[in-house]
Order: sequence, then C-alpha cells, then structure tokens
Amino acid sequence: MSEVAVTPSVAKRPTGERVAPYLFLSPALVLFLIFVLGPMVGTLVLSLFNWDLLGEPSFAGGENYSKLVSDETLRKALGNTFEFTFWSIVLHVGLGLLLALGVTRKMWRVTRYFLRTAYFFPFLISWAATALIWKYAYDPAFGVFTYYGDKIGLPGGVLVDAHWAMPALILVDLWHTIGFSFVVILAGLQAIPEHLYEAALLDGANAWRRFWHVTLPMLSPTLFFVTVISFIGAFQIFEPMYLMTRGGPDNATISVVQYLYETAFRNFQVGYASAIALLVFAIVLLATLVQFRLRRRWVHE
Amino acid sequence: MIIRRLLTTTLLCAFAVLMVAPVFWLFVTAILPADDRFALPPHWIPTSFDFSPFSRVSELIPLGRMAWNSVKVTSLITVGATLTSVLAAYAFARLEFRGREFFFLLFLSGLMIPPQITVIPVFLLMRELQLVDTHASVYLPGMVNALGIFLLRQYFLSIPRDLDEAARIDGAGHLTILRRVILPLGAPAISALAIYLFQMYWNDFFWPNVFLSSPEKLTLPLGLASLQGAQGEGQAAVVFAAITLVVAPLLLIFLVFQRTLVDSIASSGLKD
Amino acid sequence: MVTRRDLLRASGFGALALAAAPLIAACGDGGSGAGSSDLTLSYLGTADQQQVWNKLFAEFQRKNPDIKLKATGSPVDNWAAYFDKVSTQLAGGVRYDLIQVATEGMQLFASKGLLQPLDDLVSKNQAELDDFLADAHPNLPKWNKQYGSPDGKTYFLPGDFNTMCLWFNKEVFQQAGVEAPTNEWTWDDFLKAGRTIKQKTGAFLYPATAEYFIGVMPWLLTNGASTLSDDWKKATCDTPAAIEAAEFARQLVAEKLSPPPGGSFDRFTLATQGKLATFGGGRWPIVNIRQANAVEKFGIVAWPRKVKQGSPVGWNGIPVMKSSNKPEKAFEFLKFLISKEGDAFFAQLGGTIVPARKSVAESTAYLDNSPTGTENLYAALDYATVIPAPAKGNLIQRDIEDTWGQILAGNTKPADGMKKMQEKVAANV
Repeated sequence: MSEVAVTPSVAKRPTGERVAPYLFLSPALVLFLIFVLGPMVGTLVLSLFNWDLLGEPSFAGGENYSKLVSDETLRKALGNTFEFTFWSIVLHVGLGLLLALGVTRKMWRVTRYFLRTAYFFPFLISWAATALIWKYAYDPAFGVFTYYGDKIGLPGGVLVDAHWAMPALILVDLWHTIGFSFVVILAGLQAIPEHLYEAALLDGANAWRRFWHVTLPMLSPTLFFVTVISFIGAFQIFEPMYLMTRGGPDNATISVVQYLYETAFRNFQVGYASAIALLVFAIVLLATLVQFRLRRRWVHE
Repeated sequence: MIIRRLLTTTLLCAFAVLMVAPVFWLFVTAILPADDRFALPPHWIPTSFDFSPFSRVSELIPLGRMAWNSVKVTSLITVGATLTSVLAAYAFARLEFRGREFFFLLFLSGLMIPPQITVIPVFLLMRELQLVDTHASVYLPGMVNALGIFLLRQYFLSIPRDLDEAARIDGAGHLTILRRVILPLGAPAISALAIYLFQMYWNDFFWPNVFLSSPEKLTLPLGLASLQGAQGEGQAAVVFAAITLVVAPLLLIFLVFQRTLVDSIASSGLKD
Repeated sequence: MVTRRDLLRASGFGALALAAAPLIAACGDGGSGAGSSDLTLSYLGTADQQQVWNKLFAEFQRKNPDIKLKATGSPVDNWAAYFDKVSTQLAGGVRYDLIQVATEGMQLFASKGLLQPLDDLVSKNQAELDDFLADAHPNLPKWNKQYGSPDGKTYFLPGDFNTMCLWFNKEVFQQAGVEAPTNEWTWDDFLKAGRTIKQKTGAFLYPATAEYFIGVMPWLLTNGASTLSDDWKKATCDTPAAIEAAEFARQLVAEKLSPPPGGSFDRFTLATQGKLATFGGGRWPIVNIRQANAVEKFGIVAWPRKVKQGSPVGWNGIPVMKSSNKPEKAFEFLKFLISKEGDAFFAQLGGTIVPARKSVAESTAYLDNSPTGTENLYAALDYATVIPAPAKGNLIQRDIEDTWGQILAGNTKPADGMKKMQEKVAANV
C-alpha cells in the first residue's frame, strides 16, 4: 500500500513526535481491545468447545471446524450471501453514483433539498420498522406494493416465492441503505476541486470525457470506500432475512449470519456458531485484503 | 438541453417520491380513522383524522423516559465514537509511525466479526465488570467504531496536505492542525459519520435488548417492540404511530445537519 | 472437564481487558442487580400486558409484605426473542428465581437441567393445591404432568391458558344473509358460507396463516391429525388426515376465500371493518377488539370440524430455577397465581389469557365486555390437544411454518409439502 513506506527518519525524530501517533490512536485502541478484540478472541476460544449456552461446556478440538465442510445448509447460506452481496455492491455503488451525479446538477435549491432528504430518509429508520413496513407493503392481498406492482405486471406474494424472495429482500435493503452510499458519494463529489473541471473544459473535453478523466479518478477513493463498506456490511446481512422471511421459503434466503445466529440461539450450538463466525471473518478479511491490493490499479490517491 | 435537464429532474423526483412513499403510507395509516385504514387503493391524502393511536402509545409506554434514555445513550456514543474516530483517523491519515498498516487492518478486522456472536463474550465481560443492566453496557462498546475510523481516514487523505504544511510552518502543533484545518475541511465526512452513528444506535434493538432489563432504563426501540404482541395483538396503527414518533427526531436532526453535510465544502475555500 | 467459570474467563476477554476492568467499572452507573434477598422473576410482556402484570405484582406484594418481588418484563414481541435474551443472561450467570416459560419452552428448559423439582413444596402446600385442582379443569393438571415432567418430577404448576376458537363478525354474516356459525359447524358449512359471503359482500372468509398455534394446528386437530404423536416422539405430518387438512387450508386460499399468505396485515382491524368475516384466536384479540369498541360485533364459536372437535392448548408455566436459593418464597408467588384471588384479580384486569379456574372463567369479571361465546374458549379444554413442543420445539416450529406457508401459497402440492415437513420434523425429535 502506498502509505506503508515508513521513512527511515522515524527513529530520529524527537520523542514527542514519535509518541504523538500512539496518543492519537490510544482512546480508540483501548476501547477496541476491550470490546472488539477481546470478544473476538473469546469467539475463537468458544469455537473449540461444545457448549449449549446453558449447561457445562466440553472441549471439542477441531470438531466444529470439520463440521463446516459437510454442512449443506451452510453451503446454501453462503451461496445466498454471496448473491446478496454481489447485488448489494453493484446497486449501492451504481445507483448511489447515479443519484449523487443527478443531485449535483444545476437545479432549484428547494428541489435539491427535497431530493437529498428523500433519498437519505429511509436510512434513518430502524431495520425492525423497515421490515414491518415492507411486510405490509408486500402483502399479496392488502399490500400497497402488490397493489401498484400488479398494475405494471410485477408478481405478488414475493416473500413466499423461492425465486422472488431474495430479489424482494435485496430491494428492501437497497431502499433502506442506499441513502448512506448516496451521501458519502455526494460528499466525495463535492470535494472535487472546481478548477479541474474548468481546465478540462478549456481543453475542450465533453461531458463524458470530463466524467471519465476528472470525476471518476477523483472520486475513486470514495468509491473504494463504498465498495469495501458495502461488502463488509452485505456479507453480514441478518435483519431482513431474520425479520421478513426467517430464511425461507425452504432456506431460499437464509444468510450466513442468520444461520450462525440460529445455530447459537435456536439450536444451542454456541461452539459451532463461533466456528461459522470465524469462517465469516476469514472470508471478509480475505476479500477486503484483495480489495486493498487491487486498489492500486484503479484508485487515484 | 433544457428538455434533457427537465427530464433528469423529473426522473430524480419520481424516484424520490418512490423512496418516501412507504414511510408516508405508514404515517398516513397512523392518522386515518379506523375505518379507512388499509384501504385499497390507499388513502394518500387523509380527509379526516384520528390521532388516538398516538395517545395510545403514550398510555402504553413511558415515552418521555424512554426518549431520554435513548437521547442519553445515543448522544454519548455519537460524541464518543466521533471523537475517537477523528483522533485515530488523523493519526492514520497524517502521521507516520511503526505499525500503521497493522493497526489500521486490525481496526478494520473489527468490522468483520458479526455482533450476533460476540454478544456472548461481551455479556460475560460486562458481567465481570458489573455493568449488566446499566447504560454503560450499551454505550461503552459503541464508543469505538471501525467504520468511522475508515471513513474519516479516507476523507482526511483527500484534504490537500499543503494546507497543514502551511499551518505547520506557522508553528502549529498536531492539535492545532486538527482543529484549524482538518475539522473544518472534514466537516462533511464528520457529520455524515455522526448521523450514521446516531441513527444506528438510536434504532438499535439487539444489543440493548440483551443488556438492559430494568423498566426505567429501556430505550425507545425496546418500547417499540413491546407494542407488538406475540400473536400480533398489538394494533398496527399504534405501532405505526410509535414508529413515526421515533423517526421524527431523526429527520429533524438530519435536516439540521444537511447543510454541513454537503454545503460546507463550498464555503471552506477548498474549491478555489 | 472445563468448568463454565474457566471458559467464561477465557472467552470473555484477554488479560488486558481484565487489567482495565476496574477502570471501566468506575465509569459505570453502578450495577443494579437485585439484592440477594429479592425474589426475581423474568417474564415476557408487551406494554399492554406489563401494565396488567404490574398490578398483579402490587397485589402480591400487599399480601406478602415480607417478600420483595423484583419482576423484569421483557418487552419483546415473540417467545424466540425472549428466549434469546434469557438464554444469554443465564449463560452470563444472571440468576432468576422464576422464569416464565410458555408450553413451547417447557421441555426445552426441563431438558437442560435448569429447573428445580417442586415435589416437596407441592406436598407441603397440598391444601392450597387441592383447592385449585377442585376448581380447575381436570385436563390441565393431567397435561401438565404428562408433558411438563419428562423425568417424572414436577417442574410446573398448571396455569392460565389459551385455546383456539373462531371469532366472527356478526354483521358480515347478516349482510351476506348467512346463518351465523355455531359450535357444530363443519368444514363444509364453513366453506359454503365463505363462498356466499365472498359473492355477496366481497369480504374474505378467513385469513389463513402459517403460524403453528394459530394457523396450522386447528386444521390438523379438527381432522384428527397432529404434527407429532401423543408422546411427542414421532413425527406424524404426512398422515392422510394431515394432508387432507393441508389441502383444505390451501383450498381456502385457492378459492380466494382467504387472502394469500406472504406478508402482514392487521387482521383485527380488517375484521372490524368487515373485510374479513372470521379469524382464529384465543383470548388475546380481546385487547384489540375492546380498543376498537367492537365487542358487540363479534361472536366466538368452536373451530369448524371435519371428523372431530379440536383446538391446540398452551399454558403459562413458571418454573423455579435450579439456581434459586429461596424456592419457598418463589413457591409463594406460584401459589398466589393459582389462588382464587390471584386468578380472579388477573381476569378482572383484562389479561390476554383464559383463567384456569372454572369459577373465575364463568365469573362476570371475566365475561363482561367480551364477545358472546367467550365461554367456548374454556369449553375447548374438553377436547383440546397440547401444542406439541419437544425439547427442540423451536426448530420444529420453524420448519412447520415454512412448509405450511409454501402449501398455502400454492408453491408446493399439499401432499409433497407434508412429506417434506415430515422429514424435517422427524430429524428433530
């Protein structure tokens, strides 16, 4: 990574300069060690035991990990989660960018104000309320979504249909969280210095070339951030499945984290659930590292 | 040209209407008279009103007490996590030190273990600390936020370094640079983070549900859940009214913050 | 073997966290754990129910000034979320003396060895219990023994319960010119009335749902079928009678007499508006119906039957935890709940549950401001079947509801669906 190069002069700087970074870091670090890293280590320990949450634990060695390989439901859950994650990233980055570009165009202030609020608004609502609203909206007989959707040929009863349940949840997630990607990309767009566009205009660049040669490179760090964050968030998706379909119909929408949650709290296999959690951790970490490696290819810094 | 602009604006507005429609429907349902609720086609513009679901909410749950608890916990987290994130992000974006890469990835990795499983070890820890059923068990873990550190680091990196070099030549220390240069220029990202944190913890159900039990300590999302019965015997309109009451303050905060969020850059001199 | 304590320490935090612990503890509000002399109770209660419970606790406190009761109501909307919370708390070493467990959780808690046998206390308090047993429906203690004592020891006292009956909007039936339902109604009567109502008023007959207690069991039981055998050891989901029940439920949806499943709607409001002619329920809809001032509009009858009368039943079990060091005081509270005064007081407050004592269930305090036919809920005890809930009941329930939903939606044929349900349920008994 580009900022990794530690200059050889670090050691020679005055003590204050050497200590300062750690002072800035320490409040976050202390809390992090206690409330995040400690429990992470705890999860690792738990994964080596068989524990039903209520009785006495017994040592299991690698048993929980070997179980991962042959678990059909886990495989199904991983497949669903990858599908969800793929669409989540594509839609968040794509639509977020389109909306942000749209809103930065010249328009009446009040319109802009309304648009920004409207796009961001659903993000302010809790998952519990979101799930509730959409369960009412998707209802095949009395739902508003079904009522209007029917007029343009959309199917009804999507939540109990194995083919449509996942797209229906992806739509709900998009509705709920697009606002955040939108605002982050918008902030990134606003930070691009105007003079770069003016220079490009002087060079006779058309709108498309200005977008391709100025906007996109300057925005790439933001897009990188949104991609990484969407990935980390989407891969751990839990609420819409848990609250709206309970993973059904026939496990068509079960996600990995929902599966590990039910393994721990419904099936009372805390050790095995911890092993799944570490699998999730490994996958997300690996993918994030790959994203950071690939960053040099497309992110302008 | 004008036609194209008009077309884009119309499209953007249409999309905005679609985004708002589900919540608007919820709000309208909460104030419609009982006989008009859930009609198809829906009543989008109510002609007569019934506000009894709202008074029913306040009969059933101690709204004021819960709102205060929510404000307390959420504000502490928002301020605390924003502060720790700003400091850490400044170190990651501007300072050079041994293990920077390592620490950054360490923080980032904290995002990758789902809270649905770490809740068990954290509960055991809180038990040791005798913090179960205190607000501290909810706000302390929230005061470090890896996503916040990542977001701000990313944004601070995009602030031109020549601005702090200039301040440095004037003899400014790190804290001064942070205050004079980074904070004003980073305001959009910082306020985005603050809103993000506030909404996340304002709405959080899972964590407080496990840690809080005394009635006088409960937060709003717990109250909201208590309005829905196990067999759905809670009246939908009452739940809708409660959701409206919970969302309204967030909307207000967003409207206030919106200016900093997007407009402050224009006036910060970055765009000259 | 590793003790739980060791594991807790190792998993809770690293050495660093331990060192920092006192420092953080200093920032806390100070713990509020109940003093060891308090009697602690955890129960599930929505906001409505908590108001009722609190009055009951106050009454208990007034009668027993020497026992300090600290009750913690969990304001969650379902038993699953309640158990998540309680399990985490128990795992973390939080001690309760009493925990409310529905019939659905009885075997789960008993099988984990978390409960204290009550046999000694029962024999010491025989007089009070005899008074209760003389007044309660004989089936309640019978079932309680059969399903709540997997190892022959007594862990639960029988208590207030819920059954399933059919609530109907009288006005809708009048408008359609159809005779109001009776306790003798068959599936055929139900179906025919539904067709006429649909044609004359456009209202749906009944909301079919995949909820285990509310939507699945009544149809199975009225056809002589069930999900599990009587001893809860064998799955019986693919018997011809069970398949026939599923086919009938699907038929209601296919003929558009029931709104298709796959979302949410407020069935009580829609029934009050006359868009639904009937819905299934125990005592709990009363809260909503009273709120809507619509008690007069509704009547309650036994569930329509095919081969016999049937209803699921579940009751309120409150076991004493093994970790409790004051079982006598805990038992005082249980005694209060089943005492005539306690039961009557609860009924009079307007709970969402049917009183266990016949004298209370027939009292005006309970029947006032309730739909005609409310006594059918108590009468259902004569023919009801305990909702099958073995130790892994929560897993079974998820599979049953998922498959039944598929059948209702028409995504799978009833026979195929019930076969699949059979496989899944069999894997967990």
